[in-house]
Amino acid sequence: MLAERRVVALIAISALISLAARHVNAQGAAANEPLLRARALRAGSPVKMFVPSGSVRLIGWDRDSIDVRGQIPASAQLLFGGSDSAGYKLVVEQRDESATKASRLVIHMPRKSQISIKTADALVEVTDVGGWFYTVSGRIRIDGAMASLDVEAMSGDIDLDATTPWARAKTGKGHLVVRGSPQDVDASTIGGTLDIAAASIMHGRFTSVTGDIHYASTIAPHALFEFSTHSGTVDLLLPHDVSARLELSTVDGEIDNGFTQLRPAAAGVHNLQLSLGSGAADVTVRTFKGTVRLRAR
Amino acid sequence: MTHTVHLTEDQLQGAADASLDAEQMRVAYGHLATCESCAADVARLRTVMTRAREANPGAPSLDGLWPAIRSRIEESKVVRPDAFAGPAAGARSRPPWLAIGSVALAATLFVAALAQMQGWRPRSSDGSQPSADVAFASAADSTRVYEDESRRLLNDLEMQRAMMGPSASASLNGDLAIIDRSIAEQKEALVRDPHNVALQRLLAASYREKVELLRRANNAG
Amino acid sequence: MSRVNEKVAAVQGDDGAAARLDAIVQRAQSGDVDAFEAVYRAHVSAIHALCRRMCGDDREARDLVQDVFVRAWERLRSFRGQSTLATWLHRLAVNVVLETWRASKREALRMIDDPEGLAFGATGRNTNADVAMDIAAALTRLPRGSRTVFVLHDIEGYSHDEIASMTGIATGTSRTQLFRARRALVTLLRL
Repeated sequence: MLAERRVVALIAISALISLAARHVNAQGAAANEPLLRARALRAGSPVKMFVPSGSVRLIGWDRDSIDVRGQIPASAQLLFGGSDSAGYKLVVEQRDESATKASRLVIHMPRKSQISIKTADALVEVTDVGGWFYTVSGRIRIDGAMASLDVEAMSGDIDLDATTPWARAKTGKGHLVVRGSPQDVDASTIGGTLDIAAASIMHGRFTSVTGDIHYASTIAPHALFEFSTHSGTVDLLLPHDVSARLELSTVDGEIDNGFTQLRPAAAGVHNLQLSLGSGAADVTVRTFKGTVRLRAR
Repeated sequence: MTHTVHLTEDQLQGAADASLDAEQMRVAYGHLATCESCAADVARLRTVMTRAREANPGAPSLDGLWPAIRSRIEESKVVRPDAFAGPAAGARSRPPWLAIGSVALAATLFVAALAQMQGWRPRSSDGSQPSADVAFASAADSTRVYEDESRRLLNDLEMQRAMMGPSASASLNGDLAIIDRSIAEQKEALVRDPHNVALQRLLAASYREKVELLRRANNAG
Repeated sequence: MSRVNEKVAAVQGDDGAAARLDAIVQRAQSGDVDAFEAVYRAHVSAIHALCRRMCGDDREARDLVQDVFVRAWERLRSFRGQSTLATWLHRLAVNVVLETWRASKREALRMIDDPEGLAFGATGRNTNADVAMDIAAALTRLPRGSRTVFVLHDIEGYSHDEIASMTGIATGTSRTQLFRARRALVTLLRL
């Protein structure tokens, strides 16, 4: 019960923070920030960025242009080059050896632009554009709709609330949240917690080494899920009317079955096979020594 | 002209891909010439087919797949002393990201070897199925491939560390220690229980995570 | 230029390319792995494109490409030149993909049962309801079985009889699923 409340509370808080931040940034920041660059840019053209620190807000729009607004520190310069067909490259570069200061950028670009952005510790917030997003220790939040997402962090947090056919997200000790409507998801952490609350996933692979994985949603018919950890807990919070075939196994951990009213198809000390409803989806959970917890909500 | 009778679905689809016979095509095209609704529908279907044929699903770098394919081919042959000649000449001069990619290949090789263990066994010279020891030895050989590539990759990564910030370097060290501990525990368990498929897949997943971590680390420089 | 690239360039660009390719294939058939690498380099892009379209996932496609070429190595001696090597590899790739799916626990070829109620996974917020997706993304939204039929027929050019033979479904089913896949794509592409 406590775990259930924790998962729901975490996801709700994340959603509120995300909504609030998005509202503030979208409504006020762009219009008031000084224009740094504006160029024609064709939909589908690549845009590559390096912004080491601060905040970067990326917003897809329906115009065929890129609009860069915001402020960069006096100790840095903005390098911007390219063309509307070949795409653009944007780099915030320190002029000297002094410590990197924060930039604040709000960038609008065509929705179908292919972004590649790399930061050290910046906050990156993205709406309606896809591509590759990388941070060392910053935070990345993505919402809206896009063709694909590839998000990586060494230790930063990742929050996905997107509609996309394909999403891949990896972090080390950061907190990874998957919400929205992704279809095919490959998400993993090394030690960070992985929270999933998305009912549209048709193919999900969720992995952690020592971090806990919490899944709190229904499971789509004919979906295919794999959860695996070394020592982290895998906590599945499923509706009582879910339809799925579950295969749970652990080498040296425990299995805690909350669907006790159902007779398992097979059960041992370290494995459990269960068919819920008509068994329309396939869910496989493997841990080495983590606990596997199956609960009905 | 407004039609009250339209083409059937078979006719619409056949008109779009020209799969109707001559007489059926004559009838269908005669209707399409005067029915905007059906003509628009056929045009939409043709657009789908055209876009699908013209779409390029993306041509990622596929060079990196060859070493893993070659390794699997070599393992299926009778073992010769020079059967595993190692990476092609000039591989060390490749950029680190390509070297890291080859670790992914080694891990993929390992994953493939483990995943196929149930259905694939290297046959002994008399055609009989070898013992489980041989099957495990195959996985062990694949592990050595992975570990050799991993060592080389980490050597390349040392050059990148100078460009990493202290927090990135510390993060990498911590995560590598976590993964290496988990790999060690899983390998030890696999020695005791070599037929445990779930354990094999856990180990494969751990290798995959290590490969991806090293690739992420390379981008931190 | 590397030795392999020289071979590939020779195959692709020169007069007598067919003769050179025959020689390369013959050497590969006799166990020359370097020669087989030239075959790989010449055909891997097309095979990857096929696998990628069929499975809709890049990672799975890369795994399947490996399986295809390992199988091709194992079966190369059975290639007698009745078709081009590209056609032979292509057919082998389709079989590898389908066999891989059959061998897994999953229901490999899920079809569109109800074309009107196709589950597009549209729960959750979609802030861009008017934005059509591109064809590659739309293909990934189809159930695997109907996507397979669409890719094999409309992109790769197989007949319904051939598709039925390869997949084990009836010819009529192949035809029905093709029509439903096209309709689904019309909707997804917002045409």
